[in-house]
Amino acid sequence: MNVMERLCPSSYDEASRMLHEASTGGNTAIVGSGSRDAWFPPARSPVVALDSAALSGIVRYTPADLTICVRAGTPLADVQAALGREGQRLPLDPWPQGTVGGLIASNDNGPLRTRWGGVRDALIGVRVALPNGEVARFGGDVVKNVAGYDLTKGYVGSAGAFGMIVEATFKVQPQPARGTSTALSGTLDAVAAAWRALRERALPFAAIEVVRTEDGWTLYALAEGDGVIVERLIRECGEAARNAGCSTREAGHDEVVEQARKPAGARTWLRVGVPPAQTASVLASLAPDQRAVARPWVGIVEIFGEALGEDGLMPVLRGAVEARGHAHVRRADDGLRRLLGWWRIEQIEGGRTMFPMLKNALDPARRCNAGRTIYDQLDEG
Amino acid sequence: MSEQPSNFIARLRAVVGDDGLFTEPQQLRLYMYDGSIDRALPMAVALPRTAEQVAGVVRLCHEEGVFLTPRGAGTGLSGGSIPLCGGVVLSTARMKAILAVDTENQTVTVQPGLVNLDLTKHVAPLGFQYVPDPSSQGACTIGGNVAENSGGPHTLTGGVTTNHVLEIELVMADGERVRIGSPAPDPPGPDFVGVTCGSEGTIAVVTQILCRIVRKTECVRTMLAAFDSCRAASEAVSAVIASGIVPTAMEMMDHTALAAIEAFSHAGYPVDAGAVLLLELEALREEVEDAAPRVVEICRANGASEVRVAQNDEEREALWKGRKKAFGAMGRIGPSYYVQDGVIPRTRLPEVLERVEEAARKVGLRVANVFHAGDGNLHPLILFDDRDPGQAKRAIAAGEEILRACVEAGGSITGEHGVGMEKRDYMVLQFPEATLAAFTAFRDACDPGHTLNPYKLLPSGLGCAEGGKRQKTMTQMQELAERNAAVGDAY
Ligand SMILES: Cc1cc2nc3c(=O)[nH]c(=O)nc-3n(C[C@H](O)[C@H](O)[C@H](O)COP(=O)(O)OP(=O)(O)OC[C@H]3O[C@@H](n4cnc5c(N)ncnc54)[C@H](O)[C@@H]3O)c2cc1C
Repeated sequence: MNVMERLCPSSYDEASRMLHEASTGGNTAIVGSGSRDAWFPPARSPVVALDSAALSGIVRYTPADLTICVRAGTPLADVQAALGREGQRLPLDPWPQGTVGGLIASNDNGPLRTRWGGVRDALIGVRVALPNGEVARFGGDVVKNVAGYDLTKGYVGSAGAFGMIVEATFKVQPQPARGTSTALSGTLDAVAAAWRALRERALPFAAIEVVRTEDGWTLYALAEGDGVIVERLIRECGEAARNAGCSTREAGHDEVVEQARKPAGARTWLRVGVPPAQTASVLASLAPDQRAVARPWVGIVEIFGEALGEDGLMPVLRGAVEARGHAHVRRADDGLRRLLGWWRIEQIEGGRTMFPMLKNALDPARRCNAGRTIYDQLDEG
Repeated sequence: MSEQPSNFIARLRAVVGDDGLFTEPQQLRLYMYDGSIDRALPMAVALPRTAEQVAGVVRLCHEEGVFLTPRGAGTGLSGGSIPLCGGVVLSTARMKAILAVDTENQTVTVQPGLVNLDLTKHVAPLGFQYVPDPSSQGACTIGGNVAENSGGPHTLTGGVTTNHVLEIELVMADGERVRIGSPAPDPPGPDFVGVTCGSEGTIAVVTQILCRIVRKTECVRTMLAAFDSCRAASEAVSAVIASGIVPTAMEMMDHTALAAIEAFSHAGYPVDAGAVLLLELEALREEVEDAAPRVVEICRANGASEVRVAQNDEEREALWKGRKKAFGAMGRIGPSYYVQDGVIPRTRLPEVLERVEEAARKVGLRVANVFHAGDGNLHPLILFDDRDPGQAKRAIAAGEEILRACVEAGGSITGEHGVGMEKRDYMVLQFPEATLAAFTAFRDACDPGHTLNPYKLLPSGLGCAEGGKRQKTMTQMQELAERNAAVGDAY
């Protein structure tokens, strides 16, 4: 990306004024800390970049309301730290680098996605600087709100296509008293039997993660809550493991989180989404050099490795689409990237119709982060 | 319209068939209403049976510039399904099928006209439930729920409709059929399903929905706590949350509401109380057994004079019975009511409830409160006598005052009933001009001709052609009273 100039607005009004001026003259890129920059195609160059770094800090936080409003350039880690001081948390645990704005725009998540949902479920409002020079507010500070179109949701996964998110409000929750996980190990069939059995019993695990290691498969079941609940969940894990023929060990809290973060450090990284019941067959189709972390109750599979080849990855992409899912090539060397592209998706028509509608409303001149979403490219073509 | 109405009707008939079209005045009159105040007569009512027929109707209206208002069961409380300027009403009453149940993926595919409760009943024997449970669930449709992004008493922890819909099939304003969302999680790109939920039938018609279902929880415990005042009950709500317990439901009923509800449903509520809280815990047995006594303790510490814990399903249902029929019960204490739906941060409950009381007192009317206290979603029911012309006006004035109080407390004018036609002129209280301009631009982009559900959701000065001015006549208020009575029978 060819950046002509980098601007750091320090107020919402300044952000909208700068965005307006920059996008009148040409293309603009909206950038956070850059932690997820490589996951998306570069914005159409040359650009004037608007950096959210100076839009940082907590705007409002009343712990008793279980909501927090922050500026979009605030690092997620800072938000969690502020909440932690009041015994609360935002139940989103993606790759911990990066800003709140970047998290929303990239719609990233982590192990807690299983119990608590994704960005769209926690986010209740945004304030955005628009290329027309205005600052608009969608949603608000209250947990229920159906006044007007829910354009807040349009910013989730928007990759900056609809202007600059300058502020966001989230629902938060009390920190669980305890959190620990049980690791169940065995063959893929055995761990799949265990996760299915646990799911059928409607047990409220905070996270259920499957990891492919050098020597087999491990299912991490993260139990959170008061002592009695955690003990009950651990007991259930033991029973499911026995029935499925898995071995078990206590794995504490951090191990599961570390495992979930491994893909982000790899040279090649694909993220696949399928209907949850298809998770096992995606995992079964992996080539020997492909490592994986999956969320089988949700249907997310992250496939990663050092220098993965096209031959092994193409079937994964095809399989995702055939299962009515999608795939996102988050990281790949240039050569592989040229072969794989950025996304596969089962059906594109709905977005092909609706993306331009949002774009016409929010960035009619198509100057913001042009080319960074799957739909941008279709919209232009 | 570029042609004679009779030609248009004939073409409409060709799309939906003879038995799919109503044009007789006595038939049309049934489609003038929803659960709110206004009313208007459509020119025709189309009852398509397939998405293809829906697309045919939408395309025809689009080509001819005829207004089209989608309609589910007509239980909406903001005038959403009223054909304000005539035109065609598209009823989903003949699209009620459950198309697929997938217990492995925990989803159900339904047509939009399916009644909410029928979905839950269908999956209950399999051990599942559909979480959003509006009090009108015995009548309202899933398509209507998507359009309004409806909530219910159990959405405090479970989330509202948008959190339980994965994929939607739509007919866009020009008749194009598309699918948005995915049965797989987090599809790439913006969250189009999220944007569509709550769009009130103004950007597209919903023709199929992939709903998420969840397994029923192991243990449910329901309790009722009686307090001297709403203030004490509100403080108990905050104290429960502060303790780290998040119940699945926390519903409040004030003294005025209790009297009406008790007279109507004989639920055994303590009518002397200043306010009662209905609380429900839903979790693992151990968790409920641990939390329930703590909730009882917190209620007592905040002045509860009585706490009842349901011992079995029968007692639990008895406790809920009164709450679920609360709106209908208002007929017992007043000829008519006007219900508002503002939301506030939970911690502001005591002061805003006082402003609600004051707003009604100022205009000489009574108000009853029955609402979702856990998420700060108020439902003040302003009681008035529709035979007295001045009272209706005063009820509306008090309603506006209440919405102002909600917005000033950092809240919203509507938590689940939608803007519709009823609250569109109050949008300016809540949103800056830039937001309203973006809403209008989005509506223009989706439906440039504004044929889909015109004069709804956006302020009357914005995005609409001439003539959409909202008028509330006395006859309308009388109709409201009749319908309130009918609602009382139905729910
Ligand atoms: C006694 C009572 C209690 C209630 N309790 C609650 C409650 O607890 N929580 C809550 O959220 N609401 C509640 N409501 C309000 C109402 O029931 C909901 O808004 C419900 O979702 C409306 O569904 P419906 O099928 O009746 O839709 P309608 O009233 O027919 O229509 C509502 C809106 O949806 C649009 N629409 C309908 N179908 C479609 C479609 N297929 N495609 C596109 N647009 C469509 C209409 O144009 C209209 O704008 C209550 C109402 C009553 C009368």
